Amino acid sequence: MNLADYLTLFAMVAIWALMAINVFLSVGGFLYYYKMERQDPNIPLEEYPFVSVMVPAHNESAVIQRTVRALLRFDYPADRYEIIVINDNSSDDTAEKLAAVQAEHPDRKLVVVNTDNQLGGKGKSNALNIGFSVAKGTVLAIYDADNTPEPRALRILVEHLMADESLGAVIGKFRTRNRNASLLTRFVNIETLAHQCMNQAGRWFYFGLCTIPGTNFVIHRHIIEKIGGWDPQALSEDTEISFRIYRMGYKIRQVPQAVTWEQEPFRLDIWMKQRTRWAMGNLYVLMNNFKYVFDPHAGKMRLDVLYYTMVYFLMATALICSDTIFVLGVLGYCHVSLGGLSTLVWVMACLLFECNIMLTLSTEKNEFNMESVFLVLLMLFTYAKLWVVVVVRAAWMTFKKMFTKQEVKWYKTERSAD
Amino acid sequence: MCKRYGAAALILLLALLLPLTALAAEPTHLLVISTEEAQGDAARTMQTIRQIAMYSNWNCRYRSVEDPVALTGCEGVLLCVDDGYRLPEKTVTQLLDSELPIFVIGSGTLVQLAPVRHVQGTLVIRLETENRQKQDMLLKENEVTLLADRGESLGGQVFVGAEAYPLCQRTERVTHLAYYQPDNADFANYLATCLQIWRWPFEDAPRGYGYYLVLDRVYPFDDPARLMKITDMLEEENVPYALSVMPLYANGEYPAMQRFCEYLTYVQSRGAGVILHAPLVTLQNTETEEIKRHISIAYEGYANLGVYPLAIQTPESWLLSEKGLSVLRGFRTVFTFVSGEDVYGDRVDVNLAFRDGHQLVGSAREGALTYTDAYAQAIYLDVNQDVEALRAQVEAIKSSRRTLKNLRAMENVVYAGDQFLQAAADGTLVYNGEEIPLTYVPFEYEEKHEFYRGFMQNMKEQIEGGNKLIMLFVVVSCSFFAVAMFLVRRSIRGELLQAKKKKTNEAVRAGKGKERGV
Repeated sequence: MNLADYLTLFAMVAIWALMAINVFLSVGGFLYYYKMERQDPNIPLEEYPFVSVMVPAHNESAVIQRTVRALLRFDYPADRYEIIVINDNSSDDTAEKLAAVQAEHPDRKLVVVNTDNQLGGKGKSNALNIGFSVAKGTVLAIYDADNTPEPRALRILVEHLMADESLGAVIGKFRTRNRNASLLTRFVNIETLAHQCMNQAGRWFYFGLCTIPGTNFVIHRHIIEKIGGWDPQALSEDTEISFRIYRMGYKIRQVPQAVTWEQEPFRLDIWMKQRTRWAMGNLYVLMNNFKYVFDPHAGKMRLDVLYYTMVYFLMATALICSDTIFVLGVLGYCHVSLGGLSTLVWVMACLLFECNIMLTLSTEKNEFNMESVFLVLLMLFTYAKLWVVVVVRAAWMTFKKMFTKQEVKWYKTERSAD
Repeated sequence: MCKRYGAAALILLLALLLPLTALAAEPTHLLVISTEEAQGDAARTMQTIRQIAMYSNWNCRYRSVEDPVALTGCEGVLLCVDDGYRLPEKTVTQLLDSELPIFVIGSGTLVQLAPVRHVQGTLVIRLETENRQKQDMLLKENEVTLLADRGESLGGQVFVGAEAYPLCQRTERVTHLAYYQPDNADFANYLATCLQIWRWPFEDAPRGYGYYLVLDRVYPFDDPARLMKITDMLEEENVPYALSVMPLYANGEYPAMQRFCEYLTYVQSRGAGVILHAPLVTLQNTETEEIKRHISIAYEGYANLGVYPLAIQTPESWLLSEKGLSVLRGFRTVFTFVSGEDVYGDRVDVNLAFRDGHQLVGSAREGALTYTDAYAQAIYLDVNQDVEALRAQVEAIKSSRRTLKNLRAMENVVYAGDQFLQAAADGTLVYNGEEIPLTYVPFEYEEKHEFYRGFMQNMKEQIEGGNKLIMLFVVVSCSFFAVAMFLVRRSIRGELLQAKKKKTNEAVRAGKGKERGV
């Protein structure tokens, strides 16, 4: 066996192992969705807790009014929740837009915290910490500034959080609002449903694990107090906070009936910056938490650390190896002599990918069609490859940041008016 | 601390000494001293010497004429040095002080080792091998250096005018070959004979190796009827023969392959030996394991149809590299053919092949009018030639009185993957522990063979070649996904229908209400 053989073997084992894990999670996610769809999501409470809905907003003029209006339409008792919009050092007319909504609803608890470049402008975690300092609720709900949650979303999330004491947070599902804006948003829509929602559901179904997605979730105030707020160094504050909640012994549950619709990046450059930030944030969290893999007291959280390690290191390396060997092989620079790697196996990998995603799409009302079949196939050879670029870019930037001691810069995803 | 250092030093010493001990245990048959000038006559002659040493299973140590030499463990010294070069004085002293037999090619260093005389005149060389073949050549040179003392002739003569001198003669210490032409097939055969006689320790003539007639590169798509005519001719001529068959890795069930193998089982039953041609390797970096796997597949394909190759046929260059030798290790008998610069692996200039104890059969030199029995050789017959032309070739070979041998009369061993074959000289053949009678049984053919060409064939091969575990995993997962999708879609359709029905009922109720003026 030569070097190309060893690398191919490694890539094959890694890719198929991760595909097996993915299938396993999809099966679990599907069973959980199926079960949840057949039961009433409402768990009426005798007394609804006071909820602070926090929305960090930085230059969100294009979307903020729509978001706040959607938050005001929650079927949650109006006197039992407040909306805190942290207008985080915006240079556009976000403040004016918010003031107009405040004027429309003088009777509602809509708090706008305007920050300058001294206090604010330091990223989402910092903005959330500012919002938290003025929040009155015993339960906190977080929404991104581009979200349009369904009216029942908050109520369902709070009801489930209060119904089970073992839960530290409850997350909902998010869907793509601008699905038809571009080919990229169509891909993001599929990815969101398949990899973010279904995998989360699968991890909850088997292990009682879920990672907070950054929006459309509720969390007990006392937990945030205990962990000392959000980590301003973390670029993906959601993953970071999830790991801290696990370590406190709480579970995080996903309830798919609590849905929010969000705007996804419609251009490749915006997408690349957003995903690089996520990947850098996840690498940061991974590096800080990898030590717990060997800590028997860390509980199930170790599974998540391992899962992230596999995705960000094993999968990325395996894909780089397999793609490089493929290209070099086509150019005639290397030759793989391993047996058992027939074209059929490769076709089967594609088939499995297709079926796995189509299963997820089948659970949605308007997603299961021939167009999706083609999109998924196209996605495998285009969008999925971009993920490797994102991870490599994020790893390089993390490496550079570590050695040049650069300050963390928060890239704010650009929005457009729908 | 001291103990630890002591142990480490001991381990280091053992690590260094053990390989040296192993090396010392290996006999060195010949120390070959030559000039390093690549384009010189000596360097070109060295290629022939290396080849002769390889087929004669001699272990040689090669040194440049300027290098210091160590004679320990050597059985003889061969000097092949261009004119104008001299051995260092120390080497001359070492050689003269030792009792080792010395073979000198050319006259460059001869003057340092023995008294010589120079003879001038028109030179004619007569090559004589095996005391039967003679070949005269008129030389352009008009002076030759000979040993001053007349010794025993090892064959061949130099005519200087009317005077005849031995071309290669042996005195007590030094044997001298007075003239040699590199790249000349007759000289190469002559040199092989001389070296064999020189190395033979007994008074009588050395052992003569035979020739094997081989029908070269026979393909399954060669016409069996035509092949039959050739083998019938060979049987009429009463000569033993073998066939080298090309390897096939798939489609063993095709009628052409079946007919071909039926033909092979027939000739096998009549005493012919079968040789498996090695896979054609076009990529230098192909792994040995892959080639071995292909050999194993091809071997099994033939064995399943009753054909049992006894040896392998490979390019000669495979014997010159570690990678090539690694592939050949499963075969006791190896037939070689000359294939240009087709080296597989990194060429090594020492004879590694002798360590594996192969029965090597080289390719008889084309165009030679003399021949040598110094080592076993194969005469390859082109099956594409006309039968009568082949007959003429065979008759010429017979009349040359060369000894023709049968591959089946050799002991052959084959390891190919998990297959093991042992063939004894008495014709007994054991394959995977079972004795196989090589009798001919006519094959039964399907009335109509389904070829499964195109997509179906491709799928069949893909399924056979793919990883079964992955396939099972995908089939099970996809089946689950399909059932799950069906259930979900049915459920969603039901919900939608129910919602639609509810909406219609509500609309109907609302309509009735309006009619009643509610």
